[in-house]
Amino acid sequence: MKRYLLRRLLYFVPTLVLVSLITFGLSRLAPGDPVESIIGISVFDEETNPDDEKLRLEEYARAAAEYHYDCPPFYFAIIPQNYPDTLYKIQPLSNRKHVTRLLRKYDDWSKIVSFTQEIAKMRTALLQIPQKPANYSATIERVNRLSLAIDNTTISALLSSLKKDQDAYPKALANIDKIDALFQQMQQTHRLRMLIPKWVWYGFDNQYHHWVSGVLRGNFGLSVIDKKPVMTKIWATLPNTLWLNLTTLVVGLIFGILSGILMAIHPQKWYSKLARTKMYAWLAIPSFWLASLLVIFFTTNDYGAWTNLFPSNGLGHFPQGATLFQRVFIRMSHLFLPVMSLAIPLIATLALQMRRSLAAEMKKPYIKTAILKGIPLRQVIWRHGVKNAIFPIVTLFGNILPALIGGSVAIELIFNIPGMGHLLLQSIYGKDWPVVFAVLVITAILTILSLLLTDILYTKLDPRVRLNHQKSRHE
Amino acid sequence: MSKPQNSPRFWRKLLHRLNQHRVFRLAKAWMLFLAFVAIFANFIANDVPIFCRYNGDIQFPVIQQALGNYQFNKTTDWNAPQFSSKLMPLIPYQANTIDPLNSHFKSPFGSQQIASWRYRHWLGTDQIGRDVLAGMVSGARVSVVISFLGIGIAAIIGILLGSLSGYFGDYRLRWPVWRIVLSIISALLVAWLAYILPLYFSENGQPAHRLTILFFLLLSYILLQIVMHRIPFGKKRITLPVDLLIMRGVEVFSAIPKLLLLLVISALFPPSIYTVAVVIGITFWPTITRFTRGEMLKIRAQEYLASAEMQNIPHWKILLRHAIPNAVGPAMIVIMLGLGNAILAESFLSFLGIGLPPDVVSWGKLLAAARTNISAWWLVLFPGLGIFFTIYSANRIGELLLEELKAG
Repeated sequence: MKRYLLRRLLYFVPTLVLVSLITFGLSRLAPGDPVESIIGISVFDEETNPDDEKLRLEEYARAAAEYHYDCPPFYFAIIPQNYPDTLYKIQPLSNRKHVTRLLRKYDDWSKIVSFTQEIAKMRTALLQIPQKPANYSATIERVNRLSLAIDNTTISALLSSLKKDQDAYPKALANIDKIDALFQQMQQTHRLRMLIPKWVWYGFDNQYHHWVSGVLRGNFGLSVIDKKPVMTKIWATLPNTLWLNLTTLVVGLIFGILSGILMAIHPQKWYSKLARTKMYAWLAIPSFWLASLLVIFFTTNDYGAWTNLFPSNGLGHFPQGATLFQRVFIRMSHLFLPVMSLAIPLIATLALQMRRSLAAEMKKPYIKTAILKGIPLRQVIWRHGVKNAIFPIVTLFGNILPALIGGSVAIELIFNIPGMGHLLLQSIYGKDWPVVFAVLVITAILTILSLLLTDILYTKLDPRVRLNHQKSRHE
Repeated sequence: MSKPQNSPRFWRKLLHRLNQHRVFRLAKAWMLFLAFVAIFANFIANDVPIFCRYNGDIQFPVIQQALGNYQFNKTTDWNAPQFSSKLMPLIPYQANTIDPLNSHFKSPFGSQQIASWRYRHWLGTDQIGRDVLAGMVSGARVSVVISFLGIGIAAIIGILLGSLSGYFGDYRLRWPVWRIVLSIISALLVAWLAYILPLYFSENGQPAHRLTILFFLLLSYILLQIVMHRIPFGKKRITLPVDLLIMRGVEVFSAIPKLLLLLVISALFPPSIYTVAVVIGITFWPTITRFTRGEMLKIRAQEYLASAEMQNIPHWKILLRHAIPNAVGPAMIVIMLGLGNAILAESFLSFLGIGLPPDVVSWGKLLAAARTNISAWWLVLFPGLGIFFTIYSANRIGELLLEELKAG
């Protein structure tokens, strides 16, 4: 038994590793520059002092180093032959993206580097001119466009117009001919080299490694919006989500299983017939729709004072010195509607499953034997029927919790409950990606744990599974 | 025991049996109605006439709109005297037509400022005066496109992987060592080319012709596999644990809550109907894979497959001609159930305001619009009923299919 559980636990390790890889991969797809979202975005134009820009770059480099954004993304990379191994070192990200696009288009790394460097030099020289002539802003605009341009025609057009400007700024635009020569050379290279892949090993100092080791220590980094640690934010919301989901789970299990049993043992009674048709409808009710309807009809005075039964906001605050009874009352009155909207589809799922499996169980010969032996029907149902029919519910259990957590996102939004789902939504709207991926990882871990729990429960409950393991150990 | 299900006769009989159930007939009718509305949405809810006489010429503005040679513009006044006769669609509004006279949540029962009863907002309006009924029609189209496309993608992946997994199991696929090595190398090569070729053919450093290149690469990979099938690689063979590998993938994907994964992936990409469909396809394949695998295990035990194997028919032929066609019937159950879930997921996403572009109106968005004014019950009731009936129909069709396949 212990060995079996240990094996199951070890089974989850590769799953966790793969989940972390998927999450990390998704986080790399997030739009925007993560470092800029930490230090804040600022715009540069012709009025900018070059020293400001330099300071800004230093700040960027410091932030990037602090959050390991100056590391390669993964342990290794497979990149085109013409890419340099140290492409990740170019900062900021917008520059790196631009150089990458140039690399795809013009192949030769060394020439592209000197090309971009010369343009940057030209730009700095222009910005440092003390007396600015009339058409200065047009020239600097051209240089700015040149530093962002990719395709041949745009670059050559900009270069030729800049050559005309050279008379106005002989000093600042001195290297224009050099740039032009470099560009001519860049255009002549053939690009077939990029089709050949190259393997690069980066070692352990990489972003994924730092992220995963942070996650293992419970450190998910800082939130972009308010610079608080992600973990504190999640810890603050987790209890509310658990309150909501665990109450739903308990309510759903009790009502679902009981009504399933009733439907199975009295299939001809009116309530079973009614429930059988209604349950399929319940199953199809989207919980966020039900929640919206409940909010509309039971939390306002619009349809008469008697329909304004429940509070619609949050989970309630306890006044100072509230007694336990008051606390329970406040919590329950706030939880009633959200739990109801989440539990109804759950009750239907469980009841239908329970009815199906118990009805199948009651037809089996051993039940008939038990009844014929004279064991009271109630005892037959509870001791034998239900005990055997509950296994499919246990297997369902592992899927219920993740589905609940997913579904509660909308419920938390509608009822304004400050839970994890609400936090996730706020973070998605605010492009606060560290929080988003932390929530994803934590829910995945919760799911894996609930699957593990299901497994343990199953082995505890079903002697066949348990005995099988013991047998296999003896062999 | 279940009989082979790959004959048209089997499907005809199944449909006949299903049609005995009133619920099935109703659900089928609703689904067909929905499909009809989705296909002809432009003709049902539109603010331009289906047909009109303009300066004596007969014109069909809706068809022109659909074909892209629209001759009028947004400011055209359809009540101008040049139009001697015209036929407006049933609902004379588009989903995002703004009726400024009837803005701020006009109730379906309240008074509305309209020219005639033809222009009444039968299901009310939202905050900026968009017609809810027209929104329902647009929502039907969005739901159908996203859920059918999404479930289609999931079904292709799921049935393929599930069949492979169930058919070969962990021991049945034995390949020569060199074939395995070559397959892996060529698969890596295909992946590399799928990444680099769109960049190579690009003009400005952004990937180009991605789908075309992917299609040709996959095609050539399949061709390569067929060619390799004919090459004698030597006697030494290794068993491939297909089942283990595929099921491990399924396990990983089911470890992340489906709705959250859906939420995050759709938030990462630029909003579009097709993004949502693809994301639904990516998140829904594990369920279908798991179910098809279970069915395939049952099919695998049938005599006709053993007989086919004994006649030395190659595996891939048995798989394509006998095994997969028989697995499609049972897979339909889980596909129908998945369809319901896909519609739920789509409305969930648009309710939260993620995934769809701002100018597309869907059921979930109408529901979300009610959150700014909770006394606008018509914005909640009608779209919700649309979602509910669709999910209910899909679920019931799936359930009845399960019952009938079990009984037959």
